[in-house]
Amino acid sequence: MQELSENRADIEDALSKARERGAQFTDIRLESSEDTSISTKDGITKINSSNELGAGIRVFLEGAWGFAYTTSVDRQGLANCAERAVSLAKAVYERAENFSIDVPVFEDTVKATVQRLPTKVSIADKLNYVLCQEQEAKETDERISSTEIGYNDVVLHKIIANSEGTYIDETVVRSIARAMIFAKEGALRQSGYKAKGDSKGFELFLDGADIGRIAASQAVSLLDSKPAPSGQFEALLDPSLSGVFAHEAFGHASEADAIISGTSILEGKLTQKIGSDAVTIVDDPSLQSYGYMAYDDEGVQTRRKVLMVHGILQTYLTDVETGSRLGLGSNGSARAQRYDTPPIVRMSNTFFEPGDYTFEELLDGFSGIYFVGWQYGYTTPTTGMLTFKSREAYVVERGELCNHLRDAALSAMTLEVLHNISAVGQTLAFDPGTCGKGGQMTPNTTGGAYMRVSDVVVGGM
Amino acid sequence: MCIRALALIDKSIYQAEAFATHSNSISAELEKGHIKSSQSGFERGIGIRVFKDGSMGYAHASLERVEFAVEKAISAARAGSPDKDFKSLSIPESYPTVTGTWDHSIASLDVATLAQLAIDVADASRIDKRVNIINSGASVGLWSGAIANTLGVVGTDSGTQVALDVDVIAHEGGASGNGFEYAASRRFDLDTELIGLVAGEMALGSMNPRPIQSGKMPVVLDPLAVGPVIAAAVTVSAEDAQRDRSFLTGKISEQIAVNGFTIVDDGLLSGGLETSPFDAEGVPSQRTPLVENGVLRSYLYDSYTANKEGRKSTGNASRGDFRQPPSISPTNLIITNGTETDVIEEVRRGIYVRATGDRPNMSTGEFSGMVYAGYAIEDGECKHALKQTNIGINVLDLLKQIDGLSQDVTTYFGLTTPTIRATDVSVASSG
Repeated sequence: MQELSENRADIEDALSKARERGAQFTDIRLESSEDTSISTKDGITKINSSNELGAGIRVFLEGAWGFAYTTSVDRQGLANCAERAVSLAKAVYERAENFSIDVPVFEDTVKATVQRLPTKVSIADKLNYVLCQEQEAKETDERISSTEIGYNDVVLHKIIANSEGTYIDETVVRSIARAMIFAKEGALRQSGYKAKGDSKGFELFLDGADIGRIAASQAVSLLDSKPAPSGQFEALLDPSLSGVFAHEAFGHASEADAIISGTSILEGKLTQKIGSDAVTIVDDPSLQSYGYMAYDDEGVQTRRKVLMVHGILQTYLTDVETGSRLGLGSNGSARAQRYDTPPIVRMSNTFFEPGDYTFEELLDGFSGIYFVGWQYGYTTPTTGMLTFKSREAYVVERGELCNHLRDAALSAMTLEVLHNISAVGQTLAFDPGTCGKGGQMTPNTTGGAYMRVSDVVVGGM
Repeated sequence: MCIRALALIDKSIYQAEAFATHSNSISAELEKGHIKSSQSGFERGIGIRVFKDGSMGYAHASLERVEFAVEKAISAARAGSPDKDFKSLSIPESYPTVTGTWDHSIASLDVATLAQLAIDVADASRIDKRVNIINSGASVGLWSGAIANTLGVVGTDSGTQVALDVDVIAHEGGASGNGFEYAASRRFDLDTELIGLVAGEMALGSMNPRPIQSGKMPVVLDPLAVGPVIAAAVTVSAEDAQRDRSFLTGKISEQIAVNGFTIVDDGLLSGGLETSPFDAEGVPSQRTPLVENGVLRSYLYDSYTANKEGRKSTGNASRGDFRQPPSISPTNLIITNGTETDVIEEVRRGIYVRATGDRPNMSTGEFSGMVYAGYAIEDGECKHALKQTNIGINVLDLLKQIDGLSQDVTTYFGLTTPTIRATDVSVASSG
């Protein structure tokens, strides 16, 4: 991996060049990363092992941003890139809405504290893990018809520096493995999925992370499932669905860029009660999980943000610009996919705080649909319409699990459904995932406990 | 550059392929009608794919570090497992000529012009005092690419693209409605007035959404909704078919849709967003009927899956950029239009689906998803926007229930399609 720490003088030079050319504020993200992706489909392996080196430079001028990036990170390359960013901002700033920004300043070095740095683990060892997962999946049941295991690790070293004096040198390590397993019986095909990911090194996979077997069991169990019915039901969500719920139903609407652009149903609702007493929602990038970062992509130190307490909206997720414009300050929620994209307001590790109920208490007397295992979800922040889909579900009648279902879609309106969360379980669980916004993908964690929600629409066949 | 990279590889041990691109892009974004940001990107990169006994290794790098990528790809190929089904990379063939993929006027656009385009489309969407801009954007990209492999394949291509998007909201009293539109073209010919108008009208029509009575009813799919519901389901990769993962496995030559339904994958379409003389492995692009008059004709093949069946690739290897190895994906898709001038007029009670973010379960063919934007149809007219409404149907049933295709077609994200009506879809709403 390229050693970035030697570039400080070149970074300072580019920052001063931008200032001389008229920039009010400039920041630079210099990134060097090394990653390995391994996939196996039915025993056929593909290995992708790559490095990236590049820098993204942002210039602010009277309410307008110019952004440029480069893969030439020597003194000349950074200076040229800074000048391009200044030219872009200058070309458009006269038509911008003028505002000023307050930039908090930090200086720190953060090393990743992992036990097995992925760059020190051989490809053979990683491949062996993947092939073992595939073998275990195949051996789960004779009806397993096709297997697919994906593995990815990344060691990302970044320098985030700005014209106000911030200089953050941060190394982040992430690892994830995913299993997608297919089962077939007669003409019926089903699939199962399980992922494990964290801001850890290869040690993540040394504790019997049997994703292959879990996904295989799910695929096999779905062979006796029926399509979900449609209609209005009471819902019981497993922790993975609760997590997606926190992210989709609430998290996106709490992103302050949506508040500023007038596209969030949470605009003007700070300190108001918009959910039931059972609802407390947190976004915490400082939590050691798949969405972890000590400093965000604007070099602002991250911290735990309690977005909602017992149904009362506390704050939004902000970056430097939106925090300045809303008078809240940045709370460290700026993230970029890579050096070639500018940071935008994003979630990190988003979850419901656990409540008091055991699973048995939640199930007791419950009639409705019990959703298990998330697939995906999405939302329209403007109207608060949200949906997400589970891999499995059960029809529950007075606490008894009856019909086994597949692909149950749940949809609801955010401002209604947050009031309908009636009971939250005791045990918090997290799932790794990827969130897309503005064309940028970021690693995220969603979390929650078992949760009862009344009056949701289930879309089935 | 590709040839130089391949010269570093021992052809007696490995088969290898190099893919290099050089791209330039600029964009401008507006927030609430004001310029918010402008961006410029400039990138040169190479992706190297190396096979040893069928084991694939891949690595990418910026063009300054080609040797490094070659070394990485070789060691990755050596680490993997052999694959007896891997026969060969693509072999040299002559390439067809494609048209309409390069526009000189795009190459000379600057950021100020793009900012003006984003302003124009935003202005055009304000068809009424109730409509406010959320954001709009304009971007252009130009790229040139080259591919070469150790079997002698050599190809070069270049292209331009311009894209516009606009997102608006309408307010009246306590009600609000969302509207959006996107458009992209290889030529500098986008109609900002029309793009703005579609978004503005959609926002006004989306105010005061209401649920409807659940039940089975006719559903009309807007061209934007045909993509995720129908096109995604019938464009099956040969990989999924060979691994028996798709609900369409083993159905070649079977009647899977009504007679009037035809969909073609056309990598040669003049001016198509996905048009090029060759695919991501250097296989010549072609026109491939996938479903013809309701009969399933083909899956999508790359050279690996084609070799496995001893047939020719359909030229459907694709990649986002030099960072990814090729994978199978459609090029330009075209669904043949019908004859109806108004596919809604005969619907007494049904729904119009403008957009959904869901996709079918490709193992079972079952589609269940939320109507992200849509309207209730009563007596041949769109009456009101839908709230909290889901649709569900098996695509195999849906394809046999198509009873109307519009005469006019629209292109979104590489799919050119009429508006499509089907008779008997399960609709669940909170009403």
